[in-house]
Parts: sequence; structure tokens; C-alpha cells
Amino acid sequence: MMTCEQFIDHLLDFDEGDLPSETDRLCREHSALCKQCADYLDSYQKTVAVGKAAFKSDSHGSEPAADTVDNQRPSAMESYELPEELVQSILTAAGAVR
Amino acid sequence: MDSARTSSSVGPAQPDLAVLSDEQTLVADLKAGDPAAYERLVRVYGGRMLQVARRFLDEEDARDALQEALVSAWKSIDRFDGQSKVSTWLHRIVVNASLMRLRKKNTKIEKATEALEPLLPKYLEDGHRADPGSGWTETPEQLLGRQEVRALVRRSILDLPESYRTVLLLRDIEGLSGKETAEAMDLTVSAVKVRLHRARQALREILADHLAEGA
Repeated sequence: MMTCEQFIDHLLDFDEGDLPSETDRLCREHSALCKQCADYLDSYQKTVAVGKAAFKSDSHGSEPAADTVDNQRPSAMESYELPEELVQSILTAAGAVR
Repeated sequence: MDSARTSSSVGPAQPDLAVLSDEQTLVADLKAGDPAAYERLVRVYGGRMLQVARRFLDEEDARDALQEALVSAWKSIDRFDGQSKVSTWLHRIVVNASLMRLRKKNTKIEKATEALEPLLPKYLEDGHRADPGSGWTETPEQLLGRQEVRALVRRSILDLPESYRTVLLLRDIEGLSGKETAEAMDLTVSAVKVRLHRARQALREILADHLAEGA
């Protein structure tokens, strides 16, 4: 049987379905028999999920929702409006000052 | 500048004809060399793109990277083929500019590995975990519904050693593939995988202190 160390070493590939079938089977077997590793897998998957979602509001798409910015209006550091001096600096650097 | 119109142009992920039309107009104006269109691009997308650069760099370097990225976007607008959203195209340019700045800083990987070691699982000689801990009872949705958890996750990711943080940001947050991350960081795909796994384990360990049953 696979050890906990081997199981956790394979976790990323196991979670993403990238393991060879025999190793995948051994991981499933270990996870079914070892509650500690099943818990570890569960918390690993939750870590990935919350990590992916924690920044979601300020990357590709939408404006930050009111409830996604640490329970408060964006601070100066988290403002979605560029400081005016930075805007002017960028426009000047590009030679795009009107 | 028409702020109401421009703010809608970076809106929801769902297809929106008004948004598409806005983006097409913006790109056409940029390609025509209209400085007003460039100012619109900077004001509409700049803030969010600065947030992206800040994940990789301190404030001063993030601002410099953003400036480099947006100037580069302006100069290379003819290469934008319109197959992706403007925000997606800019995002990639900002990430690359941020990574170029990071490389110049030449961080020592050895130190980062040492810093991460205490956060990785420990094992007994027979391969069982030495510090099994307890499970997490809440679902990701429940966890993310708590503002303090969302803030903790963001803070914890940004506190990871740089080389691990960068891999985790590129793969899990910025959405690059393993191959793209490897190319961006000049690593092999398997090295990216090792760092990502270690970064996730370290993040799990940090969060476990707050989120595990009985924590």
C-alpha cells in the first residue's frame, strides 16, 4: 500500500487527474483507507478553490463587488482608479499627451 | 471622457454586445493612433492592471511595470488581433512586464526553499504523517463568504516566498497553463509543478491554523 508521504507527493497530479492509471488507483485506495490523507486532500482542494477565488474580483473581468474587498471600500492601495500622477506619467511615457 | 460608457466596457464575463462594440471602437481608435483612446485605455483598465502587478511586486516596481506594460501595449496595438478581450490581452502584457522586473531582482531560490520548509508536511520513518491535524468542515463557498477568510487567503498568498508565490499566482490566480508558466519563468514544466505543489501545501498549512476544525 502507498504511504501517506507518497500519497501527498502525488496529490497535485491526483487532483488534476494527471496520474497513470495504476498510481491513480493506489491513490484512491489510500484515500479511502486513510482518513488523515482524505482530510488532507479535502483541505488541499479547498485551499486551491479559495486561493483561486480570493483574487477573482480584481483580475480579468468585473469590477470589485462590494462584498469582495475585505468588507470595506477599497483602500488607497486597493483603489481601482489610478493615481492621476501615474496616469499622466504613463501618457507622457507613451508620447500620448493630448 | 465618458466614464459611464467606459466603465461598462470591462464588465461581466457574459457576452454583451454593447461591451463588444465598446471594445471594438476602443481598439479601432487605438490603432488609428488616437491619444484620447489611449488615455481611455489607461484610465479604464489601469487600476485593475496595477492590482495584478502589485501581486508580484512592491508598489514602486508595480507602478513601473504597469507603465512599461501600457506603453508597450500602445506601441504594439497593431498586433492585437481582437480574438481575446482587451483586458485579457493587457493582463498578459502586465504579467510579463512584472515577471521581467522580478527577474531583474534575482531572488535567491535557496532562501525561499528554507522559508517554506516549516510549512510542508512532516513524516515519520514509516511514511505516515507526523502532524496529521484535523479536517476542514466548511465548504469553499462558506469559507469565501467570510470576509476575514478572503482577506487571510490573499494576505497568505502574498506572504509566500517569492518564487513560490509567483508560480502559484501565475497558475492558480492568473490562469496560465503549466507550460506557459514554465516559459514565463524560464523553468521546466516539472519544476513548475513541484513549486506549485509546495506553494499550495504551504498555503494549506497557513490556512489550517485558522480554518481546521477546532482551530
